[in-house]
Amino acid sequence: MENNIISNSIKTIKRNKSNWYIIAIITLLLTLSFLCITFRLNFDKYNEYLENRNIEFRTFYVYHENNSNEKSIQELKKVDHILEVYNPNYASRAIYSNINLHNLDGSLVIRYGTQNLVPISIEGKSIEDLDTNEMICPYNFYPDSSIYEFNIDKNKIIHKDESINLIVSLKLPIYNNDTNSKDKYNDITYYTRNFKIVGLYDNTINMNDNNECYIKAEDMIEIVNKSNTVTNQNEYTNLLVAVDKIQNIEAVREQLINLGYEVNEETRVYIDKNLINTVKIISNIIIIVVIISSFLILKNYIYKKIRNEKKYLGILRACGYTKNQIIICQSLELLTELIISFIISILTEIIVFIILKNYIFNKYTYIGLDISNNILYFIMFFSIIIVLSFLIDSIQIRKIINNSISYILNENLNKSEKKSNMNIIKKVGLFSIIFIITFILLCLINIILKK
Amino acid sequence: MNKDIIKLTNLVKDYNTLNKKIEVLKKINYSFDKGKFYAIKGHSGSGKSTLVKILGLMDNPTSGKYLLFNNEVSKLSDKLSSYYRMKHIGFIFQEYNLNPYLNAIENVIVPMLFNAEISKKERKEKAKELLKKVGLENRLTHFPSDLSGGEQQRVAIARSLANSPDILIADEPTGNLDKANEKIIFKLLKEMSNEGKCVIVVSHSDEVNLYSDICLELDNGKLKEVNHGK
Ligand SMILES: Nc1ncnc2c1ncn2[C@@H]1O[C@H](COP(=O)(O)OP(=O)(O)OP(=O)(O)O)[C@@H](O)[C@H]1O
Ligand SMILES: [Mg+2]
Repeated sequence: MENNIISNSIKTIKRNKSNWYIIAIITLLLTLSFLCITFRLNFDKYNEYLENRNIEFRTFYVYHENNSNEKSIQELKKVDHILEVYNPNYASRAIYSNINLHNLDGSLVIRYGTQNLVPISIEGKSIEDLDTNEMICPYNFYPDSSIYEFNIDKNKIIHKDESINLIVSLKLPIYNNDTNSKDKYNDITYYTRNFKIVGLYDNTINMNDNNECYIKAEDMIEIVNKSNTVTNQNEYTNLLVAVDKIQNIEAVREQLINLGYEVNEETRVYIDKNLINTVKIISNIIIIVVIISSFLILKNYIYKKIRNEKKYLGILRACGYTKNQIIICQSLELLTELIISFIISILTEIIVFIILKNYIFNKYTYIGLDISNNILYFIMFFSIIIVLSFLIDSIQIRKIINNSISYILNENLNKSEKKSNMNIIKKVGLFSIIFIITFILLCLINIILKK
Repeated sequence: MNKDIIKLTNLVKDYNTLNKKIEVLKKINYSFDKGKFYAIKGHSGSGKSTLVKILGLMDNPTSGKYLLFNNEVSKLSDKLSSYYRMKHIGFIFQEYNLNPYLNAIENVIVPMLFNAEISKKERKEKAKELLKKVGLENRLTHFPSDLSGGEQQRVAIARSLANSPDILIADEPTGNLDKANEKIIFKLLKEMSNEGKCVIVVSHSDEVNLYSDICLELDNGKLKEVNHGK
């Protein structure tokens, strides 16, 4: 392509102020739609991650009136899709820990570790090789943090070189069950035990907190038994059942009910589906509204632009431009404007995203707040805008230049023509086409997401 | 050999309006030579613009023949008629219709953009040369808004000359200009005809008589030569 033509269109855009207004408006709308898409995609991803990665979302309580715990565990372990069965008493303990590093004393959660519950270590020992008094901690280990905290101090994260081989002293209170005295809490004695960090796992994989460490199941049982606590070892108690996939929960539940178990309706941790659906619907509506208004604004702009340039199009024809050459020249201008808007809005989007990620949702970063995958959607979305505007543009231009040149250049006829505007049926038709395309786009996004 | 550039035979143009048919050109027979300056006169509504637009390949005749260099051009495809317009015809309008966002040189380059015969380097040189020819060597990078009406029309003339056409057609080129500017424009057009181009000018002004070689009058749909007593 002639770069003279390209440079002419760039010059025209540069020198015509009204082009900058439309670039600003399109940029704003594109940025807004990109932000909506980013939000929607990350929201979906976050939910999906939580449900699929964090085993707590797939773990629920069961109870059998007549079976002993031993018997139930044996029976349940044979059921398909059940990963693990264990006593909730041993599931996890939040413990005050004493770490001689950066004054990082704080609360730490130790968890019941079996092969099915612990993710593969990316550094050091894995659960299979774990010995007693050893534990596996998160790669970015941060005692005393919680998933609900926003202002995490990144400097306080203990990185792998420091954490591996670190000895952590755990201090558990021992309550005396038999005491009836009122100052029960003054009598607390402590059970202390040292654990060495020998392995590190990536806690983003199963969406654990930054302070959750796994120890051997036997160690866990011993600690819990030593430190008391509360209940006597009741033979007939609840058990926790962990299922392999979220889709299998229902099937497992039914099977257990048939085996005579009482099954808890809800998993140990769950997301409020109604809330999620509301958020999804609202964000969908916002996306649709933004997309439709982008199209309408763009369409009106194209109509106005072409109406203003009508005479000049006639001049170009008189100079010997063919119809296609005129469409190329005029569309190039529109295309350049759209591309400028696209680049600015992508940059804005990335900057806004970085700010959101690092300053507002910084604690959530490890759960996968991400923009790189979204770029593909932006490009897809943008291509649709380009194709549609090109279609509108070329159809409008063609409508004009299909007339004879003398007709295009005839001032009097141009004036009388302005009255014959688009009729309502056409407007409704255009609106519904845009709506359908938007809808298809959204469905596409959803389908790809579900994969 | 036929030295006529343009040969019209029984050229007819009707307009069909809502309720009736207007016969604007009625069987016109005429030939235009190269190197001559033609002035076309006639009262308002006599069909002068209609005629020159057909000559400029911007409209098709209802019937009759239009031979351009011995080629029948009244029923050409868009691509071909565009090519003829680019190669052979320069058109000057009453309104200058310059692109307000391009400066003088850039405006003159516009018709050359799709002309493969002029290389990119030559385009700028040629535009400068043409602007110099119309006396605007000091206004090369001025934008239309910074030029007077006469200067804008001269840029438009330079633009019409961009692809070195053989035929220059002007429809009331001085309609918006004062006497002094009118003289400049007609002088320029005269120069073009002296260079061998066929120049056809529609004008109400008597000034054109001083420059034209042949004066034509369009009356009642017929084109005839008249003496203007030069
Ligand atoms: N597109 C059209 N449709 C219908 N009638 C038309 C059209 N163009 C021109 N006419 C009519 O054809 C006749 C000749 O018009 P034309 O513009 O050629 O006149 P003219 O000689 O150029 O007049 P003027 O000196 O005022 O420019 C007029 O009566 C005009 O109304
Ligand atoms: Mg006229």
